[in-house]
Amino acid sequence: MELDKAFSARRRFVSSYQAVVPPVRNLIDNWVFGKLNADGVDAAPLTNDYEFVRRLHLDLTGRIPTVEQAQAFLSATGNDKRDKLIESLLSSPAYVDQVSQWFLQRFQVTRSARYISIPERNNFYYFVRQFVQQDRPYDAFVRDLLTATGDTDTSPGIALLGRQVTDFYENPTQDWWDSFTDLSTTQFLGLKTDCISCHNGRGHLEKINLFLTPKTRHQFWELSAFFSRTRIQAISDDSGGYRTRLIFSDSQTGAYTGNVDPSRPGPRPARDGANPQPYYWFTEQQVQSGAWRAEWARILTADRQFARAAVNYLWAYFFGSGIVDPPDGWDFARVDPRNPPPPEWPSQISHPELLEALADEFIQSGYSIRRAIRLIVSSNTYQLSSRYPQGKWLSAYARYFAKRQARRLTAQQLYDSLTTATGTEAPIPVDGMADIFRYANQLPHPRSSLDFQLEQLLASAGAGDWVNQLPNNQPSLYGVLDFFNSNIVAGRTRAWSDQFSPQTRLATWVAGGLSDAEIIRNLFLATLTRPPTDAEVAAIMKVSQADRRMWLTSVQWALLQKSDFGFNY
Amino acid sequence: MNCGCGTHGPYTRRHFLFGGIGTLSTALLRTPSDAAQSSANPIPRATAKACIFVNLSGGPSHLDTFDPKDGPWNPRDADIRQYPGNIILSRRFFPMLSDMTEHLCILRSVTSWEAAHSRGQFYIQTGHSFNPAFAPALPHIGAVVSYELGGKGPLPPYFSPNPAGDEQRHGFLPGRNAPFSFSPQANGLNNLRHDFYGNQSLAFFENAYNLLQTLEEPLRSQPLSDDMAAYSAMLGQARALVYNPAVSPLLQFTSADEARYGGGNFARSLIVARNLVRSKLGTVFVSVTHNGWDQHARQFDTGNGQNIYRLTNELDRGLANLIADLRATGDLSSTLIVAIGEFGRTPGLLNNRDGRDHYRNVMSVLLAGGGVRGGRAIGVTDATGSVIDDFGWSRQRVIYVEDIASTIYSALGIDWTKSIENTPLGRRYIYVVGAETGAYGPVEEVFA
Repeated sequence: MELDKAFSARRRFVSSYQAVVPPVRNLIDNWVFGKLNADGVDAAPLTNDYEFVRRLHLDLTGRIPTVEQAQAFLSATGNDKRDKLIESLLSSPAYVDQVSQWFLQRFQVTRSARYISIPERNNFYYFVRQFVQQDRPYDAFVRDLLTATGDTDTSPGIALLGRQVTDFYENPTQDWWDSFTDLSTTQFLGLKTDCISCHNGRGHLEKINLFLTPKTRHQFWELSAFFSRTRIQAISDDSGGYRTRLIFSDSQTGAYTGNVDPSRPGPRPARDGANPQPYYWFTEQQVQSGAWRAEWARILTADRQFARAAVNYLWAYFFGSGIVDPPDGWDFARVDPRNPPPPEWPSQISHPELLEALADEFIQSGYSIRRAIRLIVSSNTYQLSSRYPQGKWLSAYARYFAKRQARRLTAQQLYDSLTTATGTEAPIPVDGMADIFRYANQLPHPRSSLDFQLEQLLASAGAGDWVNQLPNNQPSLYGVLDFFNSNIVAGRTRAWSDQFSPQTRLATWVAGGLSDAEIIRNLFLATLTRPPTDAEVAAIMKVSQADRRMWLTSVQWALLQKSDFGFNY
Repeated sequence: MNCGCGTHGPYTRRHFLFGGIGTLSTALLRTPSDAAQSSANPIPRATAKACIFVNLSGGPSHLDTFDPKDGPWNPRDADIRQYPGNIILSRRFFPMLSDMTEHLCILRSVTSWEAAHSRGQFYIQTGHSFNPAFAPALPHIGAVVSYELGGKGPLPPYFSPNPAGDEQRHGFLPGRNAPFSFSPQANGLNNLRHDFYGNQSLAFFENAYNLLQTLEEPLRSQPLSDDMAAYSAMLGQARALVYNPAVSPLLQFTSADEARYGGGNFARSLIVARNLVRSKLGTVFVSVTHNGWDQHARQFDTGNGQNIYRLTNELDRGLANLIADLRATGDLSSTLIVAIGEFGRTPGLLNNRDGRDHYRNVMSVLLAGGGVRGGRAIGVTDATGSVIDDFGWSRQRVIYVEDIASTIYSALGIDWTKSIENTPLGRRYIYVVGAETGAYGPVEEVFA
């Protein structure tokens, strides 16, 4: 964000320069390369095949390719081999794992939250997976999430709202309505409205959000009023009230008022005089029926901002930052190039026309997530290298998406790539689920497994608990120490197998009598998805030891610690 | 509600000094060549070698902590007493600190710029105003201290054992200044050894690590991103900790110690902070978070999970034992302890939910050790804690977070008027905005 000024400054000074950009493959490249050309900023070259196959597997399946998968792609011929790989991964089961995990991490329906039981979490998990697998229209999916009724243990999709109910017995029902509203606007419009759920924007948000500054708490209540016919009851299966389930239902009557049970005032200030009618002032829509929550879902998903926010969230997943950034913190007064913000405010948007074009495509495709992803990864913009041999990389170029932003693997990607590289996938049992998972991105939550070592590794790699700690893939010293020395990593590096070590690929190669050179080459392909350089082979041979198994174990360990294993680049 | 939005009332001194956000951001964006050089060249106190920064997250009420007053809002058992140097404390809330006021220096004439948690937290963590455009790039004060004083031992210079969820990190500074975060446990960190191969373990690890460094060299010298550069640097930092017999005991503690410090994450983090600072193995800044101070409702209700009794008693035991332990080994005089929250809370009577809401105008900060002269309170507020009546220091104005940050830097021997010209962002980073012109500076009165 801080780069915005540099962003526009560059445009002024270098407009005569003819930028070097790859050919245009689709509408994304039109806009991204067009801007690079206009501003005289070079694009990075296109990835080579090694980088591409690794990146695409990580992004679409959450793990690096196996040796076999990589070699199949590398040895393929034909100009359309990348498109074929894209198609094959988009229809793979692992795509469902990864894209579902992305949604699950956003929605954070977790056992650690109050009133989310294991059956409820698992139920929600399968609802999300089914949506991804069938590529159901995203707008219909969101309407289901927002209008679900019934028992949280059995009713599909209801846990997203249930997750917001954090203190059922202490807070008034208005509080849940307000929380549902902020959840809806944040997740589905990219706009956090929590601030004006407690107070007017004026006097609070002048330095934070220009759009929300003139908005009032009353206006927030007009949104929240859509939920005011939603009733929530809590029932418990045991006399201690230990495991509470919530029952959601809707009434055809009722309205939002400021009347609150004085014994449970809740965290938000008193709602004196609140008496709003439901009004979706973003697009000036009023209710057309008495089913107000259904009206909310209908109006919200028909708002063009719903499509914009969705494709922008997706874009940020693939590129590391949004076209509007941050994707969950839009300021509508700073995203319209026809109405630029005051000069001291940076614009939030880098490619306004591209965002509109992506939103158009998304709507026309029937809100297909899979098609939107296909469009993104098929672009040459996505296929740019993370290296920048053109010259000095300025951080201002990041908002041009002029190269790939190399980033640390997420915790789940790290574990799944570790097991893929070493061929040590193992069953991961999960409470209350009959399915046996093998990858961390198949888990409903990073702390849902019964495998303590796995949980520790995910925690040190920044998986978070989705309640107090959000996922964070910035590298950390603690995480490095854990990956250096945890048993779960060390056990997967060995050139032999015993009761402490699973059968690794390396052990298989050693037992199979492969030569040093063959094994080193295989280790590189399996771990780094590329062959070793001559210098690397020489460095490894130079430290070869009498104990061949210990030596090869140290090679596997070192490759797993290298930044080109631990990064998505 | 931690709603993350800002409150600022009528125009403040800052607007007159710096023209508010507009000119401030323009100043930050200026290219290095036309930035004014700071010319103050002050002489820092250099009385401390390390800082333990106790972050009272949520914004503690000054009235219920370090600036108590007689009033109907107090519970009957508050037992408010006066001590030498005009220090006033509740013996019920702070029984142990009440007996060691000779080590405490309490600032009561402090004003926060903010009344929203996230912005206020950002301010006390960085010494800078929150601006959404620049926030991610701005380092925590601990990272700046690490940048200045780090690299003098195997330990990471900057620890944050139990960081708050929104804690600022090293910003644009190199990754070696990132905080080392972990959840302290009695038996320490289990990942400081690689004992998988019996008596060959150390040799195996050294060989494997050396090979890693050889293979990593091309990406270490030409990293593909800032995060990758940070990661590459961390490999070496991690190596310095593994199989280091001086390091692992520092992260361990006995259950007796934990109980003495009051138990829980806060207590454990303080014990680890004590150990790290005492070891003098390179740690210069430890940030320890004490959560739960956002007491909007039922603040004296002991049936309420977190309440003033519990919070103050936790803080009391933790801080008092920390001070006593550091003093026992002669390390108190070289360790600056700062306890600060993001703002004060509404003065006088409790609100209609028996709590207190956010209040900018008055807050209290506690200092001890590191060259600070104890047994003193600076500043006087009125009978309800609403207004500052006497600033109590030479500048004859309220103390701002910028002044606190300058004081921390000065105590640690860091020129608080410094700036870094050529940041990777292409703009100047000023340690304390306004200090380079003299508008802010250390509270010299706290030093002996």
